[in-house]
Amino acid sequence: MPLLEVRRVSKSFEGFRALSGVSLAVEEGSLHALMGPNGAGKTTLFNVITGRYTLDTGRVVFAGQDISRTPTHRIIHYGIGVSFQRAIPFPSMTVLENVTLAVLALDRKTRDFVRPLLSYADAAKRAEEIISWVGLHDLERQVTAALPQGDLKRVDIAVALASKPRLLLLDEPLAGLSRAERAQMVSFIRELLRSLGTTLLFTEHDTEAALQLAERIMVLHRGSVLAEGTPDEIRNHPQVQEAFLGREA
Amino acid sequence: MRTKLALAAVALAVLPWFLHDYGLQVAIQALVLGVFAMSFNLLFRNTGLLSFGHAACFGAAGYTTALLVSKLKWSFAATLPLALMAAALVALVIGFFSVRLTKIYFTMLTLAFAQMLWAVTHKWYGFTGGDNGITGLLPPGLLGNPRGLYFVSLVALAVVCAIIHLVRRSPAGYTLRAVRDNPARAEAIGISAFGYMVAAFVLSGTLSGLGGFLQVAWQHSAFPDLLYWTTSAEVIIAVILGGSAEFFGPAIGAAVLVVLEAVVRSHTQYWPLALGIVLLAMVLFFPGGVISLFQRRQRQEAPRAAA
Repeated sequence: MPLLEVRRVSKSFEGFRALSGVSLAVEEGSLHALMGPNGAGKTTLFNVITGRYTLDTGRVVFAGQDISRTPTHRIIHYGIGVSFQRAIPFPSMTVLENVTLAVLALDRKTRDFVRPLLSYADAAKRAEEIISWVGLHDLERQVTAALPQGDLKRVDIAVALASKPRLLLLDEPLAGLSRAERAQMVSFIRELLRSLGTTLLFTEHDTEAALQLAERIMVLHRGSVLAEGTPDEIRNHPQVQEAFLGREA
Repeated sequence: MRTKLALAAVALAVLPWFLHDYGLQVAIQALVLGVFAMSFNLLFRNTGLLSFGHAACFGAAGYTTALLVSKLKWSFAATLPLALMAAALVALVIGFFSVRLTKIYFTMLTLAFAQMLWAVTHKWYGFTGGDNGITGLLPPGLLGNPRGLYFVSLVALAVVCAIIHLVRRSPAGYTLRAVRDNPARAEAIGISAFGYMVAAFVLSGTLSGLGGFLQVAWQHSAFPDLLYWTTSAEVIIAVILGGSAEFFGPAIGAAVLVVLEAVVRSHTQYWPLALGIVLLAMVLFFPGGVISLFQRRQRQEAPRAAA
């Protein structure tokens, strides 16, 4: 049984059909990409999965449970972590405070109005471990607002990892990064899968990057599924070649 | 920082012995507005929500005290718990409906609630005395003695500051900042913003009620003005003057506003004009508030001292 199943999901905004009968199955332990140009519906599908948008028709099933119409703040407790395209977690806080807060939020311990945040030793220790794992140990006392984009993406992923996700959704993880930062991020994402065994679903509008990184790819075009398969199958798919790879079918 | 705080505490503790009667009245008024401004800023600074209805909480507490003292002959001090509960209840109702909105819509809804409460108080002659207010409230003991009231107000300000300090460092305080900084990210880590926003509104409103209680003790009366929009505006002006980003900014802004008003009014009747000019200058040239003036000076002096 797939870890995540999206079944015939549709979503419209004031007459504009952003998703039309989209189905997707993500197996546990896989690295799955959603590919397509801007406006294809990748982020809309992410937002439907995470509960930010209510779907019009269809279902979203995670680990056998129907999570359609589950509010975003509850999705995390099912084991779904999210990293955003514009990764600016909580800019007024340090890296350590960002991740510690996320650890406490998962444990539902944020209702405390008295004890200092960092006095939760277990949460702070776990946050430090995650920060070290993403390679930001030296920056843990830095206020995140001052960090470059590449480090911000890592902070955002660290915040998402604090929820111990079985499935991690990464929205455009390579967007806005320099060439060197992109190479680092690609190895980092592979390491995430290898070391933590976290299932990954990411969106990417850069076709080559998605083809290099993913094990399976779904191509969206104008809110519908254009193709789905392994990178080689996608590369050789006539309609994908025509639409995205600039080759005649 | 701790040395500065200790020096400020000592200065405030000995201040009454250096002030004549009018000066002491001005100092009490500054402390009461300081309590209100710090409480208001607990919501504004931590959530980014600009309430234009905090006068409702301030006035609800003030009127609760005034009504219990005048109609049921309660002692002043005994009314404090109920006054705070009244402020909390008003804050809960306003907060519950308002925090679903943001920006100008939130501000306007809080204003509408406060103005409704003001209208009821203003017209309900049989219960609140209408625009005649409730007068002749003479608190006994410490609260009835200017020097005593000064120290009670000073302790109240210290308690409010301590509570805000605790909240700011707590997981709930960080949660409020997370919602302010990035609501979508906060939701994605499992935070439901609504409950925290209402809780912040209720805490801020309850502490504002402490200011309302002290205000009635100070002026020996309660008038609908306590709930009027100008009272909400006054606390916002104090926060702008002092600087909302700095912890003690609102209390300093309250002191500057009250002292400035006393000085200007002793020379001219055009206080609103002077206030407008001061506000323009602050917003245009020192958006960080009065406290940023000192910080700028410190930054300029630091390299000189190092050289």
